[in-house]
Amino acid sequence: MKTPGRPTYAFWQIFRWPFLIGLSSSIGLVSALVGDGPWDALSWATLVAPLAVIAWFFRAMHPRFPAGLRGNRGRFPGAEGRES
Amino acid sequence: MGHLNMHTKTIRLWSWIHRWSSLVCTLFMLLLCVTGLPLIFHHEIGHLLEPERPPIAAGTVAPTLASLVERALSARPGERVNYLFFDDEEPVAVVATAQRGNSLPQETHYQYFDLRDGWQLERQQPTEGFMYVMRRLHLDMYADLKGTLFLGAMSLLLLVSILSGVILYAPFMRHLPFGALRRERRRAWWLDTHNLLGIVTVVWLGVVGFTGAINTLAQPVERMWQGSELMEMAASPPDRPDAQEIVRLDLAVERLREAAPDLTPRVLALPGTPFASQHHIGAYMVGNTPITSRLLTPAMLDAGSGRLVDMREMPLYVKALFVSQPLHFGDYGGMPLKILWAALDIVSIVLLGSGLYLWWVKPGHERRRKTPAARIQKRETAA
Repeated sequence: MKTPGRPTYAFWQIFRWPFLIGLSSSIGLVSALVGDGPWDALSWATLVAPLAVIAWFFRAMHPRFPAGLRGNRGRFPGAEGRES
Repeated sequence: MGHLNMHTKTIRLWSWIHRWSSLVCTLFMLLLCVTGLPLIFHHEIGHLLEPERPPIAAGTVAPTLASLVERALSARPGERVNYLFFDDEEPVAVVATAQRGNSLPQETHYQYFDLRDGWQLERQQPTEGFMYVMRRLHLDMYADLKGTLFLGAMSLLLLVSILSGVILYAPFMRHLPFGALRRERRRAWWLDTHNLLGIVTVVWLGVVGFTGAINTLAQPVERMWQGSELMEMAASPPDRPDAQEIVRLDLAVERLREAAPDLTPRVLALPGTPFASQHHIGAYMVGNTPITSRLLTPAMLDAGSGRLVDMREMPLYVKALFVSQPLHFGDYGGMPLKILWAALDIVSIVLLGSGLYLWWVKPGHERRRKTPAARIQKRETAA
């Protein structure tokens, strides 16, 4: 069912961002255990990443958001009318 | 779904695992997420309900523990002091009194004293009110150890569902860029939302779920430790078998400070309670770094003489339990971490809810008007 014009992503492309976010969360979960002060700050900075990513993609859906930046820079591979 | 590297049969299998492991645990996980939300802030909520206390006068002498014990007892005639708890964040001692040494927590009365001037704080009993209901629902659903272990099993299912979800993420995202949210169809949008929320919170939810499962073993682990090592530690015969009263607790604390200047007592268990012996005072101390402040160092003192009988580190399996607690509660990195914990908890609620929606609404069915016939049909296909 390969649709022409639909990009296919490789394993590392699919998991690149999730891996980095997961890694940063892991660092954050441990760092606040290690020490106080800067270690706590590191955990806040890293654990805010998942929330920031979610906020980014939902913000892009907001109608008032600049159209050029909306929805993955306009790339919506499902927009051709196919869905998995 | 013919666009997959993974064998279609393999995907079906993982879909089946993901669907059923999630379905079985989702309602309980929703309960845990909802009740866990206020519990993140239990300290702060406790403070909100508390009346202001007057400022401490200059030159005030700190009260002795013996005087606090005396005051607690005079307010509760016929009871005995079982435990003194010392708060980790504020200079407050909690004196727990009850009828018997082995009275249950819900049969115990708690009195709060400011350690700086002995002011008695008007606090709600930890065994009543909204927060107690939240705690019990979160801890054991009012079913004691059975309920706790059941919730532990549900957490293990959550871990299975997380793992299978990550495996399924790959085939679902083969033609979609990271973070894509297709808006053309409602179900596709929710599927993408579920995938996005799930994959970015996977480490956090996995750690909170796993440490939660470990925490459900707290009671059995404590009992095991109590029955083996604690008994050993309290094996010495009484120094003064004819002693009528136990030593002043202030003396016991002084002995502990001499023996371990880096540690501060968190709990004093008086003789006759499960965490002491008939003629020993059990002391549970913590260090002052983020990790050592979580690890209890138990010590036994002779109740008649105040002599330190034994002090040792907790065995590794008990340490693992104690280190897993902050990772579950999120109370180890100040208020910002608690707020992040709450936000991630809310994301998890949406994740669980969207998962339920995706199971309930089959692909292609979401645009249909909800006529009774369609509803029945939908239910039949779902079953």
